[in-house]
Amino acid sequence: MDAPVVIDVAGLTKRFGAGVVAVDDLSFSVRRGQIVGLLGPNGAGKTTTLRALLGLIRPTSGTMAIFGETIRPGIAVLSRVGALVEGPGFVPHLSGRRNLELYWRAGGRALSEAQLEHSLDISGLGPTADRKVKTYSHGMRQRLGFAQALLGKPEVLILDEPVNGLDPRQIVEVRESLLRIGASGTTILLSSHLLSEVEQTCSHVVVVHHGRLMQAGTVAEVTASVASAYLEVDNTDIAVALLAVLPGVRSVQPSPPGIVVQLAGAKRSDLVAALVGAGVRVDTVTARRSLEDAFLELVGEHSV
Amino acid sequence: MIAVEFAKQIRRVRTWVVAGICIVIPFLIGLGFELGGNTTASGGDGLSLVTHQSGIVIGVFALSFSSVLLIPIVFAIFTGEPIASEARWGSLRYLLVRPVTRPRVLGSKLSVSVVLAVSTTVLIPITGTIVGIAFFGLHPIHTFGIGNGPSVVTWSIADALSRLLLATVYTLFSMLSVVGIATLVGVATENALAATASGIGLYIVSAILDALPGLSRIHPLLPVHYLEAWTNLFVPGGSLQAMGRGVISAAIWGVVPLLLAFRVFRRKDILC
Repeated sequence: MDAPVVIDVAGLTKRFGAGVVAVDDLSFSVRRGQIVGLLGPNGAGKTTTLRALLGLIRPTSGTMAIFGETIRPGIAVLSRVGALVEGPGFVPHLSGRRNLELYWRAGGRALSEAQLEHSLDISGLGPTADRKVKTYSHGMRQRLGFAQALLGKPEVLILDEPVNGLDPRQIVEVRESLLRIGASGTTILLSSHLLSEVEQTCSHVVVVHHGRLMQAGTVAEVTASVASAYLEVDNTDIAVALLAVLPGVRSVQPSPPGIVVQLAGAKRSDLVAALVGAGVRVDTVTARRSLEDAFLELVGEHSV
Repeated sequence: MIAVEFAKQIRRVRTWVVAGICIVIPFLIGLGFELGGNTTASGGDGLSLVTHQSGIVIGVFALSFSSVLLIPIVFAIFTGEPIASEARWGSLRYLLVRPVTRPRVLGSKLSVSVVLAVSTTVLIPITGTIVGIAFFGLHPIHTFGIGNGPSVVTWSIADALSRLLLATVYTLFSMLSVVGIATLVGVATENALAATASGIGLYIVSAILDALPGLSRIHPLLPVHYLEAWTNLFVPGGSLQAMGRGVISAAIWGVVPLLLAFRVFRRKDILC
């Protein structure tokens, strides 16, 4: 039933210089056809992980493999991977189209295999593709970078913050492209610090923080791992004080106009009973089981 | 990969500006000699020729005047930059994950840069000779011997041209030391300015050291020491021994940093 593992990261650790640990014993795998979001705040080690996977940096320890081949710089298996890492990069004095042509030819494959027009169509650059890249806006470069990653229909896409710098309409377009590409069997690993992005695009999520794995699984699993409640009451201060000491409550945070409570055993009905018993009137009680809550809790627990 | 690299570099404004300078400067030298009247001009290491006797003399002086500064600068610009530029543009990482192996990336960039540097700087003696012929015609070269040699020596047109060719090849080969240092610093720092400056700086510093009499012991080790040894080709009875040493010196100053550059690039974490 399980699809074969395409990307396998095992015990990846990367130390820069003296003491900076960017990635700390990180392990996860991506199976064929999955769209996996590598989720974490800025500085969590996402980009370092993707760079290591592409053979750009050497891990201090641990191994990574794509299609079972251990990654080292310039290994041939990378020709099956389309990548966008830490923003696009192009030769400024050449046109977007020329950049893609040269990028493709550098790999030693015929231009006819690149399906250049198909990629340019997805980028939506139109006639802009024939202008010099130095005249492009940040968003145009980003879309050209996305088009470059799609050249030749790679079996794996590794995308670092693919919607960075795009306007809302373009974000929707990229998201739809990714879902379509994923549906056609391409395996996608993307990093993002935007929870909503991962929630709307990905089938699976790997949460990282301070270079360490916090949790991994389907979006639904990670979301469900954290139970929470959102309440609106007539006296927030009293409610916060009361709930904070209630058994089975992990944390209480004001979230105007209400309160967000992370549960560790207590039920929402327990919260209401406690509040009403203390004379606090409850207007609204809802379950908040979004990835954002899960994320905040996972990350919040381990920060500082 | 070499074709790809060539396509990237040939369209750069820089390439054409440098080529333009390499054409304009010999033209100015020719014009200067024309305006300066028929006289004897001298260059480094005993070069001394009557200017209006033959166009080839202009080619010789164009080479002589540019070999200490202009030609090293051109080589430093072309070879210090490719990895650094690609890193600055952010396109280096995409080349490497294409994937192109690291030795191949550096090797093709280095080859194309050297070819461009050679083909622009070779314009200096060529344009000089052509401008010289336009001003003074194509004639044999007469030169006055020094020391115990014969008093007047004449080189036929063919002889003089082949000496100039050999001098040009020697000068360009001597640039291996600039190529080595500029490439090494370019790879290590990913900073084009630092790389180009190191290539030129190496020449300036060693030229200063080479001029200090107190350091005469280390002079043969300096990369500029034999740079003008080719002028012996235009001195009657001039010894070619120094040129031989120059070739060895340039090979060592070139190959050692280049090997180091490949090693650094192969092991480096690409963070740009």
